[in-house]
Amino acid sequence: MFENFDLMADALLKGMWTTVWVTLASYTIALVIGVVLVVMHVSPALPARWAANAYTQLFRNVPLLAVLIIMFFGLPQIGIKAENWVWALLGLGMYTGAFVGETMRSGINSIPLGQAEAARSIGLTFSQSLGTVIMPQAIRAVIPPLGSLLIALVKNSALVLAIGVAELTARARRLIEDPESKFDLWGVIIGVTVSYLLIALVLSYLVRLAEKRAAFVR
Amino acid sequence: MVSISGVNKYFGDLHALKDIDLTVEDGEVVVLIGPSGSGKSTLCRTINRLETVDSGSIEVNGKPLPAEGRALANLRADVGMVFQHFNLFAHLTVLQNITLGPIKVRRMSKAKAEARGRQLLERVGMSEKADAFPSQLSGGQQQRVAIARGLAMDPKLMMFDEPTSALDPEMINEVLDVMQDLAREGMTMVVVTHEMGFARRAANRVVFMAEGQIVETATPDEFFDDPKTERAQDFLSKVMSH
Repeated sequence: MFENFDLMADALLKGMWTTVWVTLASYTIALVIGVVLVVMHVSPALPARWAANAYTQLFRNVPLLAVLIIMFFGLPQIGIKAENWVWALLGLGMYTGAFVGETMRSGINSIPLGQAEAARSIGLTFSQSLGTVIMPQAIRAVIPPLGSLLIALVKNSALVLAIGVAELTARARRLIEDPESKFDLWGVIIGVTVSYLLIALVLSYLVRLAEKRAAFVR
Repeated sequence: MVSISGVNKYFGDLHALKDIDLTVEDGEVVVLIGPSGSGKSTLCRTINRLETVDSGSIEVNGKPLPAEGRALANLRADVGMVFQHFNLFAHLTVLQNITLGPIKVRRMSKAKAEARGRQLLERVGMSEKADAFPSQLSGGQQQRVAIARGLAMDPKLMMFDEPTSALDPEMINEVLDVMQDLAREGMTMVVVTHEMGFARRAANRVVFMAEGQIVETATPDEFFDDPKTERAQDFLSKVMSH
């Protein structure tokens, strides 16, 4: 079943590496976007709330594949050019950012109103109370769902094969479609499945560590 | 210290505060009492603008209440607030709860804020628990920490919004004792409470509210021994009967 195992392993390892860094880099972008969105969502300024809402609705309701294709094929048409991987990171990051923003918002909503009132009543400004009282508690509450978004992103990252980024699934497809049939179909399928499992399990473990470190006595 | 005039407040169709006029002098302890829903908590919360008002004016320390922004934050720093449900910051230790304001708002050094914080914990009898988290404390202990958190800002005025209403009976006195000490030391206080004993012992003035109006204002002795209005007589006969 595993003909040319070392060749296959080499290809899948390269694919794994791409999947991992695309995932982590786009997740970083998503976290930044999510924080910006949530600050806009809770801000007293109406235009900020409106803009955050528009962004969230747009990126939550357009399929990720469509986002990637619009960026990759559409934006160069209007003169915005970039490498494939740039579109991959931006597409995944902006799409996931909308979900990160909503997750963080639910985290903030889970913090009792009294915490914000107490923060304001000792004279903290809006941004101080957000930064020192609300967010530190909200982040702890949303580490598990943010972890789920990370795992979902690992799997969503497979879609960037559509814009020519050689991540894990793309590499596997090349092996399967190899003109000289050097590889067995089932060998590749099992190989790619194990690779995804490995990535997801390691990331889940890291998320659980983060959860433990952030825990406080309730 | 506080001067409220012609204040009206609506929650939708409910007229929660009706033409409220009230002044609180320096060093005075004013106790707001009245049935639930009479507007006494709402009135208390308008003084540091946790509730906005629909008309009328509120002055604290001779200055009208600022709208949102840094000026309002500065005013709130000078007005301590103690809540019914304590509202200690759940992710911070007792000592961190107390030093957060002095460090972030007053720009005090951490060492100085902590030294002062420990003094205040001593004063409310909580120095043993400096490194505990709020969830590890009883209600009465949490409320004493909350009072220390308010005092850490060196407030010109302390407000208490039903500070003992969420406490088990045996913990009420430990909180009232701290409050009574404060009153004796000359702190200006506005207290919303159902504790008639405290009102009688600690108040300079009792303000009785019902249906969003101030119905009667009197010294504690006058109010409890000889209430002038029928509404107050009725209220007292219900709460003092046993």
